[in-house]
Amino acid sequence: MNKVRIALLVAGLCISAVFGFYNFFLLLNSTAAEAQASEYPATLDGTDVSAFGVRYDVKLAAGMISAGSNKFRATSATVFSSADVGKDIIVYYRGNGPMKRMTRGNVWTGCIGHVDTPAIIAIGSWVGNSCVPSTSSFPALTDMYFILYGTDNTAALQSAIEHGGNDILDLKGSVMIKNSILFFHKTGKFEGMGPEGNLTTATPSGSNIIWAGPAGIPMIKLRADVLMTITNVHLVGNGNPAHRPSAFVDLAQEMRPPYAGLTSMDSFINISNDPAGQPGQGPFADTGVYFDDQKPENDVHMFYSLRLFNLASTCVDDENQQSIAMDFKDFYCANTPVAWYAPHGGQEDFTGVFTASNVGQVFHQGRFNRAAVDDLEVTNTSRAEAGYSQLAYFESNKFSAGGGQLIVYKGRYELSSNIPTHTVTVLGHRLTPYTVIDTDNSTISVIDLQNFSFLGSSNLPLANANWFFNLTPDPLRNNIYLRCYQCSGLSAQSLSRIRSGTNPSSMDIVEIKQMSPTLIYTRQLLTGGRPFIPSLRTLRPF
Amino acid sequence: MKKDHVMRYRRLFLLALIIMVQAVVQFGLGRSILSNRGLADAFPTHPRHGLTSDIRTAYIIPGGSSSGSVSIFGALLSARDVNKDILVYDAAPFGGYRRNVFSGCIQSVSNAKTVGLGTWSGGACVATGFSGLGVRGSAWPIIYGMDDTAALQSEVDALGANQRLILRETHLIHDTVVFKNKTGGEFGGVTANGQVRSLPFTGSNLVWVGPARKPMFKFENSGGMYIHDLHFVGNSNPGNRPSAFIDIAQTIRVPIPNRFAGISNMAGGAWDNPPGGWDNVDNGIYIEPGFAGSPHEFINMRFYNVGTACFNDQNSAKPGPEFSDITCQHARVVLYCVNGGSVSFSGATETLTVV
Repeated sequence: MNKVRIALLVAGLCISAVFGFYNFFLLLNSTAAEAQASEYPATLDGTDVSAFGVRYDVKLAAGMISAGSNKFRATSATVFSSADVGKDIIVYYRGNGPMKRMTRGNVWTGCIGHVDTPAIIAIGSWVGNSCVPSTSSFPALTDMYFILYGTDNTAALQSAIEHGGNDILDLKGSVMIKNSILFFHKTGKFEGMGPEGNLTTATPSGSNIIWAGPAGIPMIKLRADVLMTITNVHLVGNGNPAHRPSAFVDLAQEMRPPYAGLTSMDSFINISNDPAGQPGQGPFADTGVYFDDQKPENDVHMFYSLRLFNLASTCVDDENQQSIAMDFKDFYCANTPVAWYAPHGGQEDFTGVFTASNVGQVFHQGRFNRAAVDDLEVTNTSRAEAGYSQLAYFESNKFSAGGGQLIVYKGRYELSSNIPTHTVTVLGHRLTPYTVIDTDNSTISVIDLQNFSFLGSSNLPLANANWFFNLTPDPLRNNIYLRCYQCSGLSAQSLSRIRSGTNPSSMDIVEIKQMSPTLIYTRQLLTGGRPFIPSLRTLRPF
Repeated sequence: MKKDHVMRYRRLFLLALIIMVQAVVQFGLGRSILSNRGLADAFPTHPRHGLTSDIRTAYIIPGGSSSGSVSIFGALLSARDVNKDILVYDAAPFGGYRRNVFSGCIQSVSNAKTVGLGTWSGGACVATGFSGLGVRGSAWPIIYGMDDTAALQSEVDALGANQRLILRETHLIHDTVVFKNKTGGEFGGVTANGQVRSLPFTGSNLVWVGPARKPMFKFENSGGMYIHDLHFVGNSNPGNRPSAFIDIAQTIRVPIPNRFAGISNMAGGAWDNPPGGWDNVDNGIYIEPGFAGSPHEFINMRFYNVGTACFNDQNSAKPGPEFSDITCQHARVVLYCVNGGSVSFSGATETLTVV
């Protein structure tokens, strides 16, 4: 009898423990999930795109490819079936790296041409809509590789947008595409589960759109849409130069009814290409967001929590002169040569915090592009990125006079040892060595930095820095307004290359108010070739 | 001694039983909490309480009488259409758009082609004369459908603090929908854009068929709500032009303000709302006078063809509302704020043709 009771006691305790632990596990996961929920949580109110034929069947597999072969032999014996023929495939070099460390580059993007056995496939290439087995000597080395493969969802996803793009569409898994997805005349909502994804496990998680197409075209195109919303999506570009998309998002507001003459006002919320959970090596796209130059039409889009990483050229390339009132709230750009490129003018606000991490040039403006930043945080923790480091460059171009306007209400700029010590050409312009602010434009530019700090870094302590603002006339004229109010980190050296032109129309205004480390407290009007004198102080300059 | 052992085992057994029951209860409770946490789908996302979105379009045959009885092309009507809302638009197109010339209800259906027009008097549709028809020579487009004022009000009344309601279609209303004493909840649609010119309509449209000088939505002492992605269709008929799309009236300062995101009366979406066209509403957002306003948040507000002000803040409370990423086109005033208080603007502000 006692044994029975003891057994019951043990069983009770065991059940209690199991339920208790499970309950704890649930609450723990719930807390983690809630912690992940950002200011823009995913709600998923719409129709799952799988209802339109989209298949969430992306998988990851490890295996080996022999030198000169197009056969992938999976480590596991039963991976493939005949149903996998014609699926997209991306091959990543693994080498002897650990399973989780798939930072090696993408060496092949194509399709599954044939399934030889449940463990062996023949890799092919897309020729139109046909998958043709590859005959190229691929790869050069016999080694270990990873593959991502899955149904090509280009047509199915496009069909979903055509039929449901004016309503709410939900992306509840990972999809591979090999051509641009077009939102044309749409006004609905396309939403995923969040801006992060994980493609390093056998069955991926997140709302990932994976690019398996050719280079030179964008992943997502929007044309003539009004008040369209795209939210909570993770965009996975392609590090193979032959397959690197031109942009993640490409926008144009075309002159077609019914929205001709109207501004577009699309919203992009919680969009990222964070590579933390994906294989491959960047740059993953040429640019993050690209605005076509459609002269008569306005772009008044909103980008909330746009987070871009490892791009070949720019995080945002705004070629539209009519992009007059855009808002980038909590914008993040990392490991990219240029964060903001706007050579045709336009105007934008950066509300919240604009973070530029290991970016070569934060602002590259032309045609009097006007940028206002609430809080600019520029960090340069890496020596490797881009080969140069500038806060702003105001370019001269064929479109019109005027350099640019940069207003920062609060911020800091951390120097990088990649400040060029010799001439570097960026986006067709030659950067002056040692410059943090530079221009080749002889007409108006405005730089207004408030509550702003220039900081040294571990790569370049402030005391060793030999940097400066290059605001000299080109060749005889300039019109510059420079203010650094409540500034820190400036030195006589950094302000030594500010000078007006000798042309009578040339005139610069320079106002500096800095308490540390060097007291600079002056306002000077420069004309007739006069240089700015940092040491000149007046009792009441302001 | 043996008895002590027995008692000890019994106590232990009882303890284990209590722990087990507690664990099971906690397990169930935990799952229950999780399933209702946040804005999960505890509340149906599909309309309830009789929301219909039963809307059709047709054309009135030219030459109808001035008595309020009109004939339409096609044998479309039946007795079921009595007491439905109806909107009549001008025969003369203006760049493809037409001004609203009558808004009211279907008072009677004589036959499948002939209806008697009426106007709402409280909850009743009362016959009215309507002069003007028959003067012009081309067809007059109409929109008619079930009035959803009461159904929508029921939806709002039933919406709980942690619940969500998403409108996906078009709803006609002839009176103000009031959000009273709400302390949370999500009330939204698909997108801030929409069109109600030709079937099938797209977007989450709220179409005003009511009288002038009344707002379409009114928030009385409500806070913590998330209102989003709605397309308001005002009315170009001066006798039916709403006073505001959203009216905020507070006698108490709510602890958590409301958040409005993606609210528009996007031009081009309705017969009588062309770009640069007729006034469709007196004010986009109207905040009533008083001292107890709250810092409500308005994001992505896009207003067109506004008679007075896109944002009319009569309240003197500080801090006041915050507006972020707004458009105000073809309005007399963007921000009208004459009683003090404070207003914050952030993000991008686009104003065009403000006179």
